[in-house]
Amino acid sequence: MIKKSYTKLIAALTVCTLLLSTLTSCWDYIEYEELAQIIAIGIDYDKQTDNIVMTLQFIPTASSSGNSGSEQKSGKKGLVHSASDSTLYGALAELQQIVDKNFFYGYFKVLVIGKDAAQNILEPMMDLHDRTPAIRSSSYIVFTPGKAEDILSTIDSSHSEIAGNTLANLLDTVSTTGSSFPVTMQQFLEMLSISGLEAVGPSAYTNVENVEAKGGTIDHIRVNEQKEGKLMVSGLAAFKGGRLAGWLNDEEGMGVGWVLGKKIKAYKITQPKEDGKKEEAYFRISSSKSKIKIKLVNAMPSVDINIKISCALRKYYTENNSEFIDSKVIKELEEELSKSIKSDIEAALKKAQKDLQSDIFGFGFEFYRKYTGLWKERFEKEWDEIFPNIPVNINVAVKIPNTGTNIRSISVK
Amino acid sequence: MPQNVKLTREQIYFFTYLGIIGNIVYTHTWIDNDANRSAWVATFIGILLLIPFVLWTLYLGKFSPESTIFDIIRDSIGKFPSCILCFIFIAINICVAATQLTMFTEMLKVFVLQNTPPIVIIAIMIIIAFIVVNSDITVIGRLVEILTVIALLNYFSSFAFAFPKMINIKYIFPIFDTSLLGVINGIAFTTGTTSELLLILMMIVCNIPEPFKHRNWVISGIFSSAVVFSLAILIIMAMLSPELAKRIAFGGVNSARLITLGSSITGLEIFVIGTYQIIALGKTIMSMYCCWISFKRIFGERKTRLQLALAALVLAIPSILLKSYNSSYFIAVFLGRFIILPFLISVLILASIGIKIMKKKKGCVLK
Repeated sequence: MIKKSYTKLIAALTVCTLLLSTLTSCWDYIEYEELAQIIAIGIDYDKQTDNIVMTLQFIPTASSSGNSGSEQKSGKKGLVHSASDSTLYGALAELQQIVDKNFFYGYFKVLVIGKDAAQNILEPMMDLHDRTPAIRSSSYIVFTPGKAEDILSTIDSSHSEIAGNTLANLLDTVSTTGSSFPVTMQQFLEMLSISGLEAVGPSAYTNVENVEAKGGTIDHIRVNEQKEGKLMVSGLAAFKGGRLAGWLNDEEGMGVGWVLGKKIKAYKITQPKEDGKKEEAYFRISSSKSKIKIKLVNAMPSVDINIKISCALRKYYTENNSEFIDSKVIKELEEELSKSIKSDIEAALKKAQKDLQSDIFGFGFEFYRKYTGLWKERFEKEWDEIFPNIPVNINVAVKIPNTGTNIRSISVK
Repeated sequence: MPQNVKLTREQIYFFTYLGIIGNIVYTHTWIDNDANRSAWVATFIGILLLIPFVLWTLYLGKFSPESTIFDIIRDSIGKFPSCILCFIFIAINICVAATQLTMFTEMLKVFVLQNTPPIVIIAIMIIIAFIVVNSDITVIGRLVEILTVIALLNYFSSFAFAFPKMINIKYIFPIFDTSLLGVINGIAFTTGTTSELLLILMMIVCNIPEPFKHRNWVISGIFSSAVVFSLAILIIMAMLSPELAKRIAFGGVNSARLITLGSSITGLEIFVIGTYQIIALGKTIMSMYCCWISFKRIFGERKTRLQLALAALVLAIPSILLKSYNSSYFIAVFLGRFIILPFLISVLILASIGIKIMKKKKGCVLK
């Protein structure tokens, strides 16, 4: 009896010892201060040297122990380093050579891609990022007609915020006005992969150029490059296949946003009316719905874009004699608004169909969903030739049920 | 013959769940590849197609209620063919557990424990499985019951936050955008892979009270898991798009990584990883149990603890040696496509012949 209980005890102890010896957390344990936290990555491409320039922006790390690490010295501004190499990982490896902490992507927010990189190395670059599990696909992607390095080197002059944070915040706020909208890496990959849909992404600008490397240069690595300036997110970058096709301005970007059903929150009309009188109106969009209908007319595709908008008039000024915002004024405003939105969409369509010849609206994808067999048999192969000539009918239905509290214009004595 | 311990209705139901959902959590990309947007339909039908084989197994259990399917073959056809089949059965169970453990370990290494040696993770799973299998089948049943409920809650509570913002209905329709052959391939692959259920069912059929009479216990489990798993595939496709879903083996984890709650919580993958861990542990327990029972049929009821230790060892060694996620993935696909179901059908045919022989023998005795 005693022998049996001893055997059980020994067995239990053996199992416990085995389990204790395999506690896993030890291998992956790391202190917060020992991580170089990357918030943004910029990628540029130098056509002349065929080199990739990778720029990393680190979050300023507060150290409780008082160690004088390089990140701590940078104060609130973080650090921006860049390195060039013939491969993406080569550049990353070079950057690791000058940073004495392990790279950590847990707080990664934005991937910035320069124009040349977007034109020449987009596909391999996206594939590499997609295969890097450390980077979350929910991070934003931004394109710039200039250099990604300049974008990340820009410190917002008004509140000394680092570019990674500023860009992420700008992407969230700019979407309300509709001139651009945020796109995550996952959404961008989906647009690249889905047949009949071309990719778009927001574009960013900076007034900072040729930033000096304050920490000097070692080999191909530029250390600590930052300069005060301003960042702007405006318009869109449009792609065809895996290459950058061109840029869309604010108006065209807004047109794309309306068609794709993006949640645009605010809209304004500032153009002079046909009679030459000035009119300004600012609307708060309470709901907007977009529907793309595709049909075959004489064996060729034709598109109907139906947009329904409900909004509230928030600010209004007119040189018209109308004293009250009555139903007649509202009707006129609805027509004006409808016309203005239609013109945004027409501008976007013209740009996409005639200039870029890139189906950023996903008409092909809609066609595939409705006529799957036909798409696979014929249209998928011929879509590049068909898309620029598709007739598009735009219907914008606007309702302004609310006009705010002031229903009468100011009367000057 | 001693009476076997009987499992409850709930335990059988959850055994069915965990029996079906095994390597398919990683290899479902193969179904996506075959069946495109109709992958979830193919999965649903494929899992339901297990029902005839399950009924067959339970029907055989009716004639010899206290025996496993291999016991029927041993008693009717002979010990040697039964031993050969047991060895193949053990080999298949080892492969299923080894691929499952390796894929789970590699997934953990990719997303969470980059620096932890895989041997440590595998060793922990094997030790836990050893402790569980060392106890009674009812304890295994109770554990499976609890673990499956936790796993399901974990999985769907994380994806609940994906609605409606991250679900793109356009990625689901049209449902049938592929050829009939593609859908059939998807269905065949699903049935083949999920036939892992039969591996455990052939062993626990003796623990089901009046197996054929209580066939609804298993069938309801199959139906529920068909709904749950096809729904999981549907959610993954609606979140990632079918084009991306077919190239990502950790579809569930990748989708959950996209879920954000405000600006402070990014990614709920930890819940899905928890579910995968429960599946890996459950599968290891089941495979170890199957190996152990088979060893007992080969070597008899002597030194059973030693036989269990041997079963744990034969599971641990290939799992540790396999190391590669890619190899595991393709081995799992190969097993699902060509090995598991054909082998199990052969066993069922032999057991059916055995039952015929037994009936004849009984008839002779009666004469």
